[in-house]
Amino acid sequence: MKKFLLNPFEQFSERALVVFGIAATVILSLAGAHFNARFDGVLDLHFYTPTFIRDTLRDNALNVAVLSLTLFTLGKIRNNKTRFIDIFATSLIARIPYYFLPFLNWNNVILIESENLMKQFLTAQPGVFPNFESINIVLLFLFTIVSLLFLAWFIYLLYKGYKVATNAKGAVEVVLFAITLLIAEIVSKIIFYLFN
Amino acid sequence: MNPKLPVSCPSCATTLSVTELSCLECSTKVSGNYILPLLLHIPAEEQQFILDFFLSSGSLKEMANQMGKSYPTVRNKLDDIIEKIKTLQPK
Repeated sequence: MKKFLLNPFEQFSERALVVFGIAATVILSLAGAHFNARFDGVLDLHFYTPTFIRDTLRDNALNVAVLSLTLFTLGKIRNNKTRFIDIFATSLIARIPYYFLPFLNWNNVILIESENLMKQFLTAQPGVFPNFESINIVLLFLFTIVSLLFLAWFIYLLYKGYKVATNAKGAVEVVLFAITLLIAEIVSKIIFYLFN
Repeated sequence: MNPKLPVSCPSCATTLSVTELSCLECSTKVSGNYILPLLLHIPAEEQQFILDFFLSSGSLKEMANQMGKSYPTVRNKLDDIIEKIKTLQPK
């Protein structure tokens, strides 16, 4: 079970990973749209209303494509034997934990509370501390903690898959992977900016 | 128990060579100085991997199916063994 959750890339064939990854991406994108989630960047998640199924599906397709292409470019440079299918499977599977975060926006609770928080900050008189409901602050704090944990899980899976696909070893590879992930984030933000 | 073949001297770490071979049937002993084949310098598990690779006609896909591992995992293991053997090869 531990292997399944933290490193499925060693065990399962690329075909099984791709099929499972595409199915999970489509199903969880539908759920994401239901909870008004937009994945508007490789590392981004924001809540907007209204969000349509086509938006969430397009977001995730773009993110997987950008991640696959950037990591495949790095992988090919570092190890000529790197195959696109392995990086593609990695990008699909690694993002799955992230797709569960929209479920926390049940009844738009995160969207409403974060908008309220912003409104209070923007309308508060200078020098006056905004009046927050402590339960709402706890809610947003918990959402932040869970989001960071799931983001860490996503990046951990992404590195594990990349490592298996490219036979990467050592600190240099970790640094190059991190730089490439940041490049992927910037590229995805530019694409989303151009498309929206 | 299948004892592990020592390949380097426990005292000075120099590579060992074979100086005696014996027949288990008639106890005839042959003495000399024979260099250990390169493949015997790697662990038994890696020797088995090479044998399995040979027996599967060099198909990494078949190896991956047999081992219950993914294709890149098996290819990485083979690449690591190749690198190890390259460093062991006399220049």
